[in-house]
Amino acid sequence: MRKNWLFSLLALGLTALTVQGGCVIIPEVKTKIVELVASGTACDTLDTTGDLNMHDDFDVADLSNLDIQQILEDAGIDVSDVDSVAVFGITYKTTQPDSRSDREIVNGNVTVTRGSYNSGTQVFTPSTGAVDVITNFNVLVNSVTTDQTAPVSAGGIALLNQILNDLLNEAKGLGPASNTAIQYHVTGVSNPQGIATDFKWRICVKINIKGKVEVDVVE
Amino acid sequence: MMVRMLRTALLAALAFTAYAPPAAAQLEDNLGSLTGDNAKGYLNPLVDGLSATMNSSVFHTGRIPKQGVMFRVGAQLMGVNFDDGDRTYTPTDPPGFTGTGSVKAPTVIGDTKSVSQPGQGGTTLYHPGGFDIGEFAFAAPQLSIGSIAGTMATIRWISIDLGDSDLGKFDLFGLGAQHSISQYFQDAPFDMAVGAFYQSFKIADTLVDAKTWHFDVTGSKSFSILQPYVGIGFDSIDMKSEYTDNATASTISVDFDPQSNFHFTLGSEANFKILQLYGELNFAAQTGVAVGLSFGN
Repeated sequence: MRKNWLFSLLALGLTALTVQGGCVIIPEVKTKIVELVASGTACDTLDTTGDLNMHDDFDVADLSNLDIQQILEDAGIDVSDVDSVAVFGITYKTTQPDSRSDREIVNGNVTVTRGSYNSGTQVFTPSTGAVDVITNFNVLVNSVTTDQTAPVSAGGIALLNQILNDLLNEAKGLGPASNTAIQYHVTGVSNPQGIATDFKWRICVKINIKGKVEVDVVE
Repeated sequence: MMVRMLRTALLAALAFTAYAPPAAAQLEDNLGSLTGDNAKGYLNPLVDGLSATMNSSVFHTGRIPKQGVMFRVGAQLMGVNFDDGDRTYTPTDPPGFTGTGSVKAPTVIGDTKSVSQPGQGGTTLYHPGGFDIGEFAFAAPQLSIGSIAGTMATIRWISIDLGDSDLGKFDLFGLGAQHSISQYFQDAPFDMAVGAFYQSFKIADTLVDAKTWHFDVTGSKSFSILQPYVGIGFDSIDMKSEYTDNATASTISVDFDPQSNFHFTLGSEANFKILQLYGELNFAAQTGVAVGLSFGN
């Protein structure tokens, strides 16, 4: 009988301890401010058909096509709650391989120039000088590749970040952003020499945006 | 009176089950900026949290009658505390980014502040904040029916769609059984049963898709209204996550490494004829506690 009471007391104590220790099992809803990250990508495909010995190409991309407002809406971030926007990297990939299995581009470089672009006349008007954004990349273009990380330079990244900040300010209603186009100039030695190139590749600028959201969390 | 109590218990179960995941809709947005490897690091504490809670408070007794009507319906509420080490992970560089230094980024339960990682050429990669959760609670309505040849079936099921709210949509289904071992022994000093239980838990269909197995041997002995019990068993969890990369709009699937662990339970049931209350300590993937109540016999 005494033994039974001892067991009962032990069991009761265990029950009480379990329930009492249970702040973890009494959930409550708390509203918290969470820093969220949204990301976006601006890509352009280049066709190298016919280049001989030297791959040398100009193209223009308008970063205003990176719809910051839409990226934020998709992520549920109000533009007024955005802290910062920045380029986190540039990638390149071969989308259509060259017919020659030994085709490669060596000592490739990309510079960028900020300016405005008139799509009607197709005239680019620079507002800055050209700065390096990718330096000394080497790539075999005999097969379709996945995204490769480009070796980037501080000058070009700073220029791109400045355009992104102007676009963010525009989204916040702090005035229109101007000169949001970039002209990029790609150069590189095409091997084997004396045989025209015939491949396509794609370059992508990757950005991320940091903002705050209010979230109901249960704990 | 009985019907009213039963209805209240079921509503409580529904409400508590809705509390299980941390802001599912927002979770998908946070994942959208992460590569598969980093999403794995970000979500990893959920694997242990779900394993420890889902596999708790399943069986509360080793006493399964050989024959007769046994019916219990109720709600179980399980909770675990996370370790400080679960609050951060070390991210890997996504395509396009070359970090110049390693950082500790918040996991889903970590600090709400994001972390900036400097990269080559002045690039900056932001890692999203977590939800700053110290504890993780999981609840489930549960129905047990028996007994045929000393066997009792147990079911957990709930499906809730909270629409556009932060909590989102989730589904839980569990099915298992316990079989009395002590029925095969004359004058056994205590009751004993073996059990197996399978569960599937989904947040937003594919955002989190966890499947668990729990096996155990439960021993119990009745002393008046109290029935202490001990469970020794084994848990496993297999979790997947699927979300949309918000940079490329492509779908990313993340398979977490299946995990298994030992599970020890120490608990007690207080039986007030038609109402049973449970409390237990669980030492499993995480150490936690669970409570529950049920109505039945």
